[in-house]
Amino acid sequence: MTHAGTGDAVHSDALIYDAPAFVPNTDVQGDRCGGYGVIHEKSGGPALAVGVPSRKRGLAPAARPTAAQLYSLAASVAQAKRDARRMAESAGQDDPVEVARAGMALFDDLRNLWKARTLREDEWATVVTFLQGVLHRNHFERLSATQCAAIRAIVDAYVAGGGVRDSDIQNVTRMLRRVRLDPYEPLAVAEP
Amino acid sequence: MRTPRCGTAVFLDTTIQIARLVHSRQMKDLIAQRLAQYDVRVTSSVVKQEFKRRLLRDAAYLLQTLARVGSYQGVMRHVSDVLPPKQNRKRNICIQVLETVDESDTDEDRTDRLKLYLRSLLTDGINQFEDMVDSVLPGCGCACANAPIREVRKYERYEFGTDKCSRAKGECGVIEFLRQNEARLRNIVGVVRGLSPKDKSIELRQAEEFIESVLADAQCARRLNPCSLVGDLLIALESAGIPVFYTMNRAESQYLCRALGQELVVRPRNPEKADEE
Repeated sequence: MTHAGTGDAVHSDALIYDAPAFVPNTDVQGDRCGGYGVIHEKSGGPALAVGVPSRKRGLAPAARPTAAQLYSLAASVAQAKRDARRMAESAGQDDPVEVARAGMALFDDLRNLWKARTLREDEWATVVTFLQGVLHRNHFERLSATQCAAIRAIVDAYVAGGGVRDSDIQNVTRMLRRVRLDPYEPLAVAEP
Repeated sequence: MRTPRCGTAVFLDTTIQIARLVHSRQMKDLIAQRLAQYDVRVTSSVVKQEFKRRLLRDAAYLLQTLARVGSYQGVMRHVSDVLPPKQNRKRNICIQVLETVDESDTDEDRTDRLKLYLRSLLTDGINQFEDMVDSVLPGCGCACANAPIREVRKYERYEFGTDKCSRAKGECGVIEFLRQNEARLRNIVGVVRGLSPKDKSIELRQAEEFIESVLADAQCARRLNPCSLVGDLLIALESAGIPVFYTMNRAESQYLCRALGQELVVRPRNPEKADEE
């Protein structure tokens, strides 16, 4: 395809965006399009780079998250917060059955969050896998009130919080160790 | 569980510090029970250096292999095909992370988990090491131990600094430290010389030769790279003020503790067995 005036080759997208009648999508409209696999860049604006994991060395190839994925992630985070709170409150009331029910629900929430790990930074995924490891290796019924409180604090501050950095991982490992939970337990080496 | 004896201290060597981080829960619990008997837990700079060299270098190796091979299963195959049998630690780290986090994991999940665990071990391992004790004795002021681990490229390249004292850029106090411990060195060499050849391990022979060289001329110490060549000896000297030495390695420690008048407690590798005092 060539430009009518100059005769230079023109990309078809440029023709669309340059057309006087073209009205770019808003971000929300663009996100909705993304959910349906529409290939055009939303709003015609520059790609948003913030929060997108590194394509080269991250956990998985980076793709722009769709609105559906982001919504699902937010819903899982909110559910994890609720279940962590329920677990901590039940432990405070010395109700091991309810602690186990909430713990199993939290484990499912964390599984959903782990599936969505490429939407967030690797350090956030590290916190999620630490929590999964800790919950998997302990009987929920035997978790103490302080252990449940620590798990809840980590979910609230790091899983449901803002960006997670390396220094936050140090805090998480310290918080877990302080209540006698071992974040590195899945790395346990079998004795020879 | 016995209550702590007031004012008692225990020295933890490299094998115990590594076990506290990456051995089985049963082993960790047994060590924790033992440590609960003391109210101060200390370790030293050369232990930190060995911790870096043994455990964290293994983690870096696995992470690099993972970056090259690309999958957890691939690393498993590579490690079990290529590494000699005595490199069990690397192999076991691979195997264990797979089976314990979530049964529904795919190979991609396991690959990602292994990456995250190993990276956080590399970036946070030294902090973990220091948090696990009440004090890290400066001892000989090992410059290699104090070199930070630098992440050059995430998941791929990590720099540990040198493990050769002769090449260490930082301030290394090993010569002064050995001079201050001359009397202890004489005690140790006296005990080692009295051993029969079958009791004298390669490490003890190296320690004997090193002590003889240092007693003749302390200035040669740094050139001989003591923290990698005779780590056990330096650790023994660093622990000298602590009444109890806790280790999983009886071979050398039994003679070094005897020479330094310390009580030796050995944690057997079999978790079914009790500590040997």
